[in-house]
Amino acid sequence: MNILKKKTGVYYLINAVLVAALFLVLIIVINTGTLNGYYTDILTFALINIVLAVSLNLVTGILGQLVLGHAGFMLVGAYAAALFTKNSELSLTVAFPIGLVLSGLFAAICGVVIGLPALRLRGDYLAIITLGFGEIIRVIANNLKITNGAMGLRGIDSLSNRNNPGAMFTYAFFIAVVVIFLMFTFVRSRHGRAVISIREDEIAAESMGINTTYYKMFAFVLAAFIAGIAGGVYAHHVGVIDPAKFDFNRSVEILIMVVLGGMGSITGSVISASVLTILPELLRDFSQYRMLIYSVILICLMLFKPSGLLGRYEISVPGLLHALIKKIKNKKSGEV
Amino acid sequence: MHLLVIKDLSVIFGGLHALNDFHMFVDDREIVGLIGPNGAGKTTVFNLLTGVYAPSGGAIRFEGESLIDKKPFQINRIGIARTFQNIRIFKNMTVLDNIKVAMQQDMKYTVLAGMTRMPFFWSEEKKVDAKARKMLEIFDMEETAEHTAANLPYGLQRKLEILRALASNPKLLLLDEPAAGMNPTETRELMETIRKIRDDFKIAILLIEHDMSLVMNVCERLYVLDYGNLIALGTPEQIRANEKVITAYLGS
Ligand SMILES: Nc1ncnc2c1ncn2[C@@H]1O[C@H](COP(=O)(O)OP(=O)(O)OP(=O)(O)O)[C@@H](O)[C@H]1O
Ligand SMILES: [Mg+2]
Repeated sequence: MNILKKKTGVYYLINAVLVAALFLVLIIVINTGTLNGYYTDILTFALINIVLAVSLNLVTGILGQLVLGHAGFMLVGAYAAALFTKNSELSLTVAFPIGLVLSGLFAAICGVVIGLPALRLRGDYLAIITLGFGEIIRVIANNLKITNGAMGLRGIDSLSNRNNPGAMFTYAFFIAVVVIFLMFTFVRSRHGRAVISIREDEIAAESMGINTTYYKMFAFVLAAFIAGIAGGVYAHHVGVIDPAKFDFNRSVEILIMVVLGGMGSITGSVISASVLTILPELLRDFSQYRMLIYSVILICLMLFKPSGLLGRYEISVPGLLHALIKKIKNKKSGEV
Repeated sequence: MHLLVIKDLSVIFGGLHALNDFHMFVDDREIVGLIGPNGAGKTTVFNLLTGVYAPSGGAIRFEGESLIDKKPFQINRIGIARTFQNIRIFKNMTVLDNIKVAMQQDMKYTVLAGMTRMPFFWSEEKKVDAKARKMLEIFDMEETAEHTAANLPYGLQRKLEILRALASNPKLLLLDEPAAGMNPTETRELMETIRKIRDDFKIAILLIEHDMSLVMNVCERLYVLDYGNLIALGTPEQIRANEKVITAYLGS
């Protein structure tokens, strides 16, 4: 899609209106109790998973580097935010956003520390080093006093309460919207092009003046930052965290969302993260087969559509409208 | 002062002397040829020049500045751009975006300005978009602007790679067998265009070619490599008459 077309402004407007409408509908059904607490929770989880999947997609789909420890960044963010709000004197409405910023920062620092050795080199070292990071960070959280070891942290306050059942949902929703928007604009900027060119051919990108180490680091650290924030929201949403919640399986779950939706497709990640969060909950009775179903779906996908649901394509409502209008116009001119 | 000076350049790959005490110079706006049989070390010279390989010894100076220990992206920014023998375009990007990647340095907006779509972002992107489309005219490729690069026919992919290299504003353009896989007519046209590029962009061009006769009429001076050794240098006439070159190409 060419970003410089005149219609871009209209597209932005349509999308903004649609997002606002979606939010209004959801917040009304939540606040009126039409959607009960259980479903509101699932919706919030879906939004958190969207943020995680989109951020992982930046590294794995758009930069083209495999990450096997995304849950590790989530863990760092979850503990950072929870420890801050638990120990802070500030009221939660103030402490929570500050906690989220800390989540992102701590996760980003981890990203810098493990990214530097892996990303300075050409090749796929990131997969191994992030795999190690995911495991090590969990062992650390299991053994530190401040994280309360394997018991984890309890009684992390949620913003949602009886009077305001949609507070956490609102946070998750706007974080997801902002992350998705920024991801779209990033990919379609000079920096995004640089990142994609590295996926396409690292040697050629370097020879064209792209500082590959810088852009690899940037994408990876940004993804870590966003995953950290998702972790912070998650901690306050569930109220109880322990290291086992952020294990290798969690990392794989996020990765599956990205692969299933299509590596490099942000809308693909949004769809698959939503489906893979909501579907298992609706099929609660089968939840013990979740990993099994996941693997079967993945194998089928690899067999029949190896590039994922959407491949590298994006779908958008304005885009669909545009295609529809074009079709109708063509039909009309055909009739004449 | 010469634009590019190479002195005593050598590289060894696990015992194989791929290049031995190579030396050459290139002046402003010159078209110089680097020829030699298969495996002579021509591409190796390009890889050393652009920082893909580190030399075991020797010196490379570009406008007086040493290129040794510089990274490929720094060397590109100093003013050397290249194409690759085995095409390395960004396959899943559009033709236009391929070129825009190389125009990174023409834009100054920050990551945040880009992500939040500041006016500065739009104005710079528009400017670069127009410039990139203009570049496509060199090879009459305007129509292909929005095509995915992988879908271009082979010849156009080679041309796109040349345009991409040009888009990074080089002072010296390195072309590694640009005519490979083209028929004689296409090749002749390409050579004409290469000369035109030199005149329009006022740059120097260093050209690797396999086929001797082909470079003879476009290059002003030639260097001949064989088994990593520089066996001859001079004008096309001098090279044509050189005994060593004839033996290297025809075998003794
Ligand atoms: N990275 C490498 N590792 C080991 N050997 C190498 C490497 N790069 C090149 N060589 C060897 O160095 C020699 C010169 O290779 P080079 O690619 O420079 O030849 P060339 O002149 O470009 O040949 P051609 O006309 O076939 O492209 C060859 O014997 C090649 O096998
Ligand atoms: Mg070669």
